[in-house]
Amino acid sequence: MSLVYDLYQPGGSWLHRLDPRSKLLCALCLCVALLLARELWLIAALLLLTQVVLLSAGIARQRIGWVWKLALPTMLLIAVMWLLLYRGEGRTLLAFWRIEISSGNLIDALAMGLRLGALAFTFFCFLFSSEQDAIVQGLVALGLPYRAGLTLAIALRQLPTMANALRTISQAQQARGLDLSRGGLLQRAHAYIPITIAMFISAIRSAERLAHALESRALGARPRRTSLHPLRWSSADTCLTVVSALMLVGWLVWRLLV
Amino acid sequence: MILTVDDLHYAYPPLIPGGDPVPVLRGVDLRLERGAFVALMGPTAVGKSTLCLALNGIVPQSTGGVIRGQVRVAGYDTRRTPIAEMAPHVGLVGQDPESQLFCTTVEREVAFGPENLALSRNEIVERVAWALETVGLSEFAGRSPLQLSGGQKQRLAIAASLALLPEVLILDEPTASLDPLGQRQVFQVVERLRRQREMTILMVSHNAEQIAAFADRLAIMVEGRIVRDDAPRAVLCDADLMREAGLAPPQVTAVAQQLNSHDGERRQWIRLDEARSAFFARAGEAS
Amino acid sequence: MIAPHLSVEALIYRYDPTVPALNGVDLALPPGAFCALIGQNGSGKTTLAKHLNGLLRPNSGRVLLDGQDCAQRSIGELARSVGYVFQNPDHQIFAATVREELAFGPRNLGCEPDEIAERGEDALGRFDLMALADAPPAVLGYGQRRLVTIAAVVAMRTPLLILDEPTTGLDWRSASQLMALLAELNGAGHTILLITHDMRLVCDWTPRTLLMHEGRLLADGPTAEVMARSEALARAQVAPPQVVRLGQSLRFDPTPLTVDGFCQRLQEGSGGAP
Repeated sequence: MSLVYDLYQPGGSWLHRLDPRSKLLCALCLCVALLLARELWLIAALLLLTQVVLLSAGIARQRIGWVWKLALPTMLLIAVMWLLLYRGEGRTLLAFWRIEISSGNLIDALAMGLRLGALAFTFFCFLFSSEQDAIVQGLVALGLPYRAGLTLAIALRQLPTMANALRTISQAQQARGLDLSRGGLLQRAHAYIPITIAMFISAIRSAERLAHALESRALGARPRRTSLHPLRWSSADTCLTVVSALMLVGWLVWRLLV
Repeated sequence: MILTVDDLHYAYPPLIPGGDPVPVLRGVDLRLERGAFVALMGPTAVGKSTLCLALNGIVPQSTGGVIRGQVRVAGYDTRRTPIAEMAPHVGLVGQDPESQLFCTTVEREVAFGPENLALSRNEIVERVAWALETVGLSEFAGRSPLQLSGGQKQRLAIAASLALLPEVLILDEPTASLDPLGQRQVFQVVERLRRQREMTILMVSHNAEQIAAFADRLAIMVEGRIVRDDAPRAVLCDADLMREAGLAPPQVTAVAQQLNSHDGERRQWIRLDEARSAFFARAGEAS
Repeated sequence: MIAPHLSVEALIYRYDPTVPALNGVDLALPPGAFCALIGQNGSGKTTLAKHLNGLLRPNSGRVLLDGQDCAQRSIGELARSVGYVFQNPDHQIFAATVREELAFGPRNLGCEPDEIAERGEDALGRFDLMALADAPPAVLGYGQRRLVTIAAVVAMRTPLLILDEPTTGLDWRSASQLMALLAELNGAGHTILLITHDMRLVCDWTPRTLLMHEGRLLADGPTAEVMARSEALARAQVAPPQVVRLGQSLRFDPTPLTVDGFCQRLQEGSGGAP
């Protein structure tokens, strides 16, 4: 199954065993720090931290490589844009045409580029080590209404099914002579209409059947639900949350004062 | 009687606002006693699925429309009792397993119902284990439903309903999209449920041969009404009725009827072993 | 009309690098053939069928139309020769009226408006859909939606016609009417390949049967011969219809395939009926 639908890599590492709530909160703290940081050393250190976390949790190198492949072009783009658009401090290293690249600028550009990578990896640490259902359970525990959580879970779970349906419908219409390869953008978009409409109708029909199935299985019978796999908040989770919060606050305070 | 349907009339809301309601059920009468296995056959689009939906309250509570008549299942009035309240008493498994499965693992799918009932974790674990064992999917507990075959998905949908421990189980064409192996597996599960838990079962099916082998009673639905409800033998051998309903009896029944028309006998075979025994007995006599 | 000769040579196809879905299939469909393709779900029936109109391309092996390799021909081109009705009608229906749905295929093939209208009327007549011509197909009942999608492909008037489980969910009368229509089309020269689980229909209507199991053709020949191959059928987890099994128990040779055939055989044979 394609990587996109199946981000979770099963495992029993320390990272896997943490409650998704604490992982989410820690990831949010990291994100805040990354968004506010300007120093290259800090951003690089946090990026390195995500790599260490992923490797120590036993996440396959293939997956880590996949994220790099995804993020690298955009990271480079950001770095280059920064170099071209801004003029930093420090001595000029290179000047041609109207562009001046200084040492300060170079460092800033690197920092901006790496920041994107660090942000991406922070979230993938969370997504690779947490089951889809556990994530939704965590969100509900943090305050998301159950129906919204269920909707989110079903939507995520439908992605592979819808992709299959799209493929089959596309084949079915092509077998009736629909040509998807000819013409400009507008013509091709028009050619997709029979596919889109069929998908839509098909999706609505499925949704109705799913609704009946949900009702038939007592959805809404009780105000509170129990769970086959309840979330377990351990002392490690408390540790992680407290440490992340303290470090973030500490760093912010230090930055304000210094 | 654990299930009674009295003179049920139902029309779906109009397709276009301001149009006419679409009548589907035109006076259905049906009675099931505890532990019975009743099969329901009929031409396509005659109202069988609508009747199934009326047995757990989805019709009319979720579908709207115009309803007349009474439906009582396990002591509950399906027109008034909230669907969620009836769910632990009457389970409904629809035709297309794909659109009824929405969880990431098999065991979560089966646990969904008990979780909704806020049962203790131990109770949920027990029910999930029992349901998966009954349908023969215990070793798939941690797998994704997407990896299952058609027959396995259908059995999973059944397990998901079983976990609520209903007294009545309604199955709407559970073998429609399955290959012969898948069909056999589903019938075996249903048979096991009857023997082990005395569950009352109503199954809509096109498969006359499996019905002949397993069902206690066979009801034929034509134009929104149940026109015959009797032992499978009586119904399947009623050639005029089957023809009027556009249905085919098991092939051995058709053979019996042709032979009957030649020599005036009154053979009523509905199963292959009956026909075989008759032929071998005859061969035994002759030799 | 003479349909083209469609053949498949040493076809291998893999969805997944480790397991071949099709493991070396050879098949010849001469013009006017009427074949049933049977086998368990997952045996490769649909995968094979999708190679015949270019929806899937072989990893190795060839698909030939009148001796010419189809590899270079686009799906659109092949759609002129090979019509394909998918299993789920909801994967094809999108138009506002049944008439428009039937017009879609012919329009894609480049027919003129009056030709499109004529083909539409003809298909509506054949499938008894006249009364529903201006209804939106999406709101029709399952059986009618099924007929609409089959009519839509028949309107394309392709010499070869592939149908993937067209009778699932249809009652006996509707299924028989559909098979009679297919037999009529076959009589007019169309080659028909029918994927199905319904053994009764196979024995009643299709002269030739192809049995698939784990990506290979275990049997390919006249239906009576294939139904006699008990070990192959058992391996493929497929059982012949009741009357065939009854005939086999009674050691009728050749085994009658239909109820009528069985009764006739009984009349002719000694001992008569029990």
